[in-house]
Amino acid sequence: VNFVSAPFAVFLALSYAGYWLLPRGRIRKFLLLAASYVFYAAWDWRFCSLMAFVTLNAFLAGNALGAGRNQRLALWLSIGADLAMLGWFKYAGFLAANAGSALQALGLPALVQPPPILLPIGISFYTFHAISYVVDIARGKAKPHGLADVALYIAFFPQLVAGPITRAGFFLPQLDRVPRFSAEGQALGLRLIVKGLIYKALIADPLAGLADPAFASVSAQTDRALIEAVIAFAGQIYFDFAGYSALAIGTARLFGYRLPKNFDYPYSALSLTEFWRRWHISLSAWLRDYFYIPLGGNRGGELKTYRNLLATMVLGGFWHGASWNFVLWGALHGLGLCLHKLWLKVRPEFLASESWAWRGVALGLTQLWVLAAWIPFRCASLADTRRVLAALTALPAPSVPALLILALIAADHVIGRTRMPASRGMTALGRPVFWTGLGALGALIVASLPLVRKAFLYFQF
Amino acid sequence: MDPGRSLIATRGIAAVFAVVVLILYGALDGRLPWLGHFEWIGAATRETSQAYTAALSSPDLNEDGQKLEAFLFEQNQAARSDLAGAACILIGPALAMGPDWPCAPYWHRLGPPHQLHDRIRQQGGGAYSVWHGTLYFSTPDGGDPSRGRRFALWVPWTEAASWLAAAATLGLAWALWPWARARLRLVAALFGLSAAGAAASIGGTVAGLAWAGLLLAAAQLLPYRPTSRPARAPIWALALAGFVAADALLGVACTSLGLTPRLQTMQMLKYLVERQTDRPILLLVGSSLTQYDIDEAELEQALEAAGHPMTVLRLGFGGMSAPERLYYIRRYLAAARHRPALVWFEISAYYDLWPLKQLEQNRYSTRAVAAMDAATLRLSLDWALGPDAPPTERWGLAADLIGHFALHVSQAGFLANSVWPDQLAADAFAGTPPKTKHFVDADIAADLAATDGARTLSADLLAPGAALPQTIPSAWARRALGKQIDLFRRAGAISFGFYAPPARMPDEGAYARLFCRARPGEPCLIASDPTLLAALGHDEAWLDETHLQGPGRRRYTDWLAAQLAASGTLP
Repeated sequence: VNFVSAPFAVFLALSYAGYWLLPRGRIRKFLLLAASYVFYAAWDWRFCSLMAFVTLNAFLAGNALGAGRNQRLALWLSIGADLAMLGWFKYAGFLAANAGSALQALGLPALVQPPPILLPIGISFYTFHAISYVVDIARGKAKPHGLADVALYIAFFPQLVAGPITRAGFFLPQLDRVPRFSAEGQALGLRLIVKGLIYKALIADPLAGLADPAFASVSAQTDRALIEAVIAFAGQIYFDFAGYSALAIGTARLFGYRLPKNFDYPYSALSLTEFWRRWHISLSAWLRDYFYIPLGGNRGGELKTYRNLLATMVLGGFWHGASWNFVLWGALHGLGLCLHKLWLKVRPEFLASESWAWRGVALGLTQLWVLAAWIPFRCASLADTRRVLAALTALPAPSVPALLILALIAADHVIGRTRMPASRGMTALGRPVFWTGLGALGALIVASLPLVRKAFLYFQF
Repeated sequence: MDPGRSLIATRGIAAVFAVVVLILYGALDGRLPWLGHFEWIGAATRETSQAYTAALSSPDLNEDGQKLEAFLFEQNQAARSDLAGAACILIGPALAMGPDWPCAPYWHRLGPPHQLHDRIRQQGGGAYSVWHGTLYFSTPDGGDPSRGRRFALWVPWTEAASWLAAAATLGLAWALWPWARARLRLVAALFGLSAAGAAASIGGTVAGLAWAGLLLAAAQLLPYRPTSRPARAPIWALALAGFVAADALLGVACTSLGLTPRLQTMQMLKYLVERQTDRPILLLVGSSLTQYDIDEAELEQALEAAGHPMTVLRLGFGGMSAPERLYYIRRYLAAARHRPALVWFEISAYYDLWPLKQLEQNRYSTRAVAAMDAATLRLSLDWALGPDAPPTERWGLAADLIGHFALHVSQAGFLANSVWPDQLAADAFAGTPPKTKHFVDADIAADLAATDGARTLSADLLAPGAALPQTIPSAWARRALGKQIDLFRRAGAISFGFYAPPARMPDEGAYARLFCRARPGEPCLIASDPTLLAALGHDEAWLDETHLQGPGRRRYTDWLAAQLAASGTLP
């Protein structure tokens, strides 16, 4: 299941060769579907049935919606079934544990025991795909498709376990066309894969080596070590998830499919509103379109807007995992978004300038908020969270590794946003230089990969 | 002034200032001389004849577990009587860091710092340490510090200096931005170079991050122009050519630089290769049984006492089965300063009947990949596709082996997991790990007796689904052994033999007997001596269920020496 592994490389090579060698037509889609289920079964074959159930549920509801029969009932039954399943597998243990604690606090016997449930990998992502399918049909943004198409949309292996969360209206029309092999598509795909490999294996994993030991024993760390760990984690989660997303989008591109962009250099955001347009874009857009706007969005006055924002972000935090830490993280971001909206209303005119100095202040404040919010996200307990937040407020000077991590993030954000055109001398040789260069870079990356790898962070969500 | 010129001037001044700060910061090892404070040492208390203690203002001043950069100075009397001296008191001892600094005549720097308290007590001479808000120190001449002398501890504000350096870096970036914006390739190259410099100077994780930054910049800066024209050459062929060429160059570079995988087995190999001796070498080849059960030095002494002065070496490591051994044997023979005259091989049912078990349990590990060259692959495939491997596992295993080989050939992980030759220690692994398991003596004696009496093999040591080989050793094990013996013979070895270390597993006992019976005329030592077994029947003789330790190790080594001496094969 891990994209950065030799078995996945073999799996990808076989799927890729089979896909493009097969004659054009539905058989290619069936091959991709079979490969996606094999991919999922490699983690735990029993849960393939769960994914199949989600698919069937979405397919039947989609057909009912398309036929105009009992539309409301079909929509809510389908969404309810998806959410019930997600709730059971992801949140039942958490809710039972909290209910037990509450009863104990009241002096009552803990009648509710947390059930031993294994969290199916990627469940948060494929249930959202299924919900997107029925909602988009109900809204007229997608048309009902055949079972194989729906199954492939939900199970497509590049985005199966950690997104990007793809809208039905975005992906299904691509299944109606026949993907063509193009050098440009392959170049884009491979370039993204190379970038993803560097992000994940060469940057995020070593950063985990800096962050994990400190977060494992927070009370034993100095303020400086804790700040280094927080900065390392901020780098780790970005490079890990953005790396996974690049690998997923690049892999899909190799098969001729597009997936939505998931990251757009979020640590350059000048406000939290902008941050959420750049970080996990597919989730924030999903929550905006399927939760925030139906909840009322920014229609209905300021207070309601703030309420909706907070509720959306708390839900987003809870989506990441059944833990109060994630809820707190979501709430902090919700609060930050509300404060930003409030600031936009009350700020004096002269502060609305776009000067360098002001942009620098905005960048600093925004990223400091983001950094502080990562603390509850990563800490194992609220006590650890308090300790690390105290270290942050002590403002110790950054260590050399911390400065280098910040420099690396800055370099990534500056260089990554710059597309280098071929210089004049390279025009004739542009394509051979690009492809041989990419191959050479591949050799260097393979030689640099540590053979012991960590799983992607977002696989747990 | 024209606003444009004014901005250019501002950026220029900022750049100059930032560069000065950064140069000072770098030259002074993370400190800036004017940032810090000094603590006058008040009443000092004598601890022993040479050591004194003095309370500092803050218990946070501490080098317990971290290297606090504080400097102890003694003030010259003249400092209080002339103008320059007074200025130097005012400035503090920061400007007396080196002999050429203006205040150097007024401040005498003490040291060495960070000393153990015992060292300060014993040797004095200005040694000191800062310990939880207490200065623990000595005077250069051993005199009383409170008699007309003044001392000061200078505590640089390293944190403030770091912030200032960070601010200077940002300032420099701002100052250079208009210029850099138009030269992103050059900036990326400079970033790569400075990252490489940081990598070289810092090492470890930070070096890896810097290298990753370099690759990232390279990936982003690859020239690319989207075009609708069809490709003239197959794109995959071009990419493959690039991969192969870079891989070959990398291989040449790594070999010429002597980079070696960071593995304990490589430490063992380095020890074997570099061992100097003028005596004939007896090489024992095996696994963890050879590593733990035999004491090299003890065996040498015992053989010498028996009239056979020899150098004993062990090419054996935990989990090392025949295919992996073959790799290390070849590397050893290719580089060894002295080659073995005699080679004895360990007999082990565990490794002969399921030789790829360790590889299956440690798939795609650095060690498994490092040893999977073409010869190891051939021998491993020979087993995996032969009659001894479980039929249902064959093709999966073969694919895995080829995967390991592919990673080996493409040098996967080589840059991440390798070290320079001087960073790899030669290690004979002479000891055993701490004992954590305990046994009842009677159980050990019963196990040893059962092993000694066993004559038939069960399927317990086989891979699930595999069948017992028709002969012992199996045809594959004979071929594997034959390859190893051939290599040694070509390298000049003149005599070979076999030994089965003590075991508490009946299958091992039965296997050893069947093995030795199949090689008549060749020396074969099975640890079945009743006196030896009686001596090994105690808890303290065993490290765990399989390996000896302490007294058990010594007893077996002595017994082995006696048997080797009696075998008539030693020079």
